Amino acid sequence: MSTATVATQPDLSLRKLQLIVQQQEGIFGPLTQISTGNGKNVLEFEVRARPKVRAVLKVSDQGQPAPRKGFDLVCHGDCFIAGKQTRVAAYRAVEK
Amino acid sequence: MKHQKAAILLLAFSFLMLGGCLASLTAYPDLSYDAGAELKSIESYLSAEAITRYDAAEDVQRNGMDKKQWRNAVVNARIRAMDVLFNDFQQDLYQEGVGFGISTDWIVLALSGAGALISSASTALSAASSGVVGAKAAFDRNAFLDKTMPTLLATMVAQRKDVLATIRASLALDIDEYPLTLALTDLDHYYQAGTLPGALTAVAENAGSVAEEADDRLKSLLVVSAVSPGLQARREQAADFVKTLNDVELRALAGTLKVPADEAMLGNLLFAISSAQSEAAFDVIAQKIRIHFGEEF
Repeated sequence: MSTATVATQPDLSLRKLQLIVQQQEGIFGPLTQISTGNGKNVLEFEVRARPKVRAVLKVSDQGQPAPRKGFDLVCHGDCFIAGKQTRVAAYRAVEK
Repeated sequence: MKHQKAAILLLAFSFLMLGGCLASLTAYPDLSYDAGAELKSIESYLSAEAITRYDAAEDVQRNGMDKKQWRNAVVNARIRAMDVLFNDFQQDLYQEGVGFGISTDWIVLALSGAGALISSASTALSAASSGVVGAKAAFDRNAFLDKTMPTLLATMVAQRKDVLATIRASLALDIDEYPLTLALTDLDHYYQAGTLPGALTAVAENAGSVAEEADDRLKSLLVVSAVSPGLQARREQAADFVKTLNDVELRALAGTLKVPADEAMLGNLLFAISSAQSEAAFDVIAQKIRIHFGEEF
């Protein structure tokens, strides 16, 4: 599995970060991992066809994120949201 | 009472069986030579006098050897002595911790297995099992020894091989290039490589360089930002198209866009598209694709 990793600035809102994730999914393929490194957000994607439904990001509690009805959990990790380290989970709506 | 007797008999049998197994399976076979006698036989090369004799004017003072031969004899003897002592050290470490951890685990597993098979004896067996686990816990530096020591031992062995290769290669050099004093310094490194602090330092240095590499990778990551919906639609169309290209076509496009044409060509081209965060920057990519493939984005 080939992967591609990009970074984003740490001062973005959750909404803006989600938009970037969705745009990068459109180029590389599905999001696989979110984390932080070197003071930035680090996003990893699997290089393959873009997903039909893009990932959405939600602020999450520590530990395993809560399941959301109609969504699959894609990944979760720490991200900088508006400069603050925040636990974030990525979900993808289940295709009907 | 009858069950109790059966349990005790079974327990005794289990220990006998385990004792037999453990006695017949040891980590280190017996040495075929007398290590102490061997060290004694080379002690003239290990003493400080060996260094004095290296500087002597006449070969006769070096048992008829010239200085290079004497240097090599001294170095080889000291390597051999260090190897003998390192083997002892390794066995001591194993018996101290690594071996205990493994053999105790076997006993625990065997007792638990027997307990599961024969219910009437299970209480007694469980008690015995708990006893062994307790003994293990009491001895427990095992978290360190079981997990860390094999890594440290492997590091020591690998480091010693590295230093030994350098020494062996240097022994072919003349004494002007590789005098005994320099060889003795290398021998110190050889000794140091076989110590716990030496291994810990190597592991720490390695961890440091791995962390540095990771840092460098993170620093070189493409920093992306959100783009307008119009530009994003063009980028996605181009990415979809690039994903349909075969190797030859990918290589040609990679050459045109000046991205590495290696096994990660597709990823590299997608990075080029992702890094085009303005219409003007994307136009350059779109133009190259149009020239090569006649596709418009």
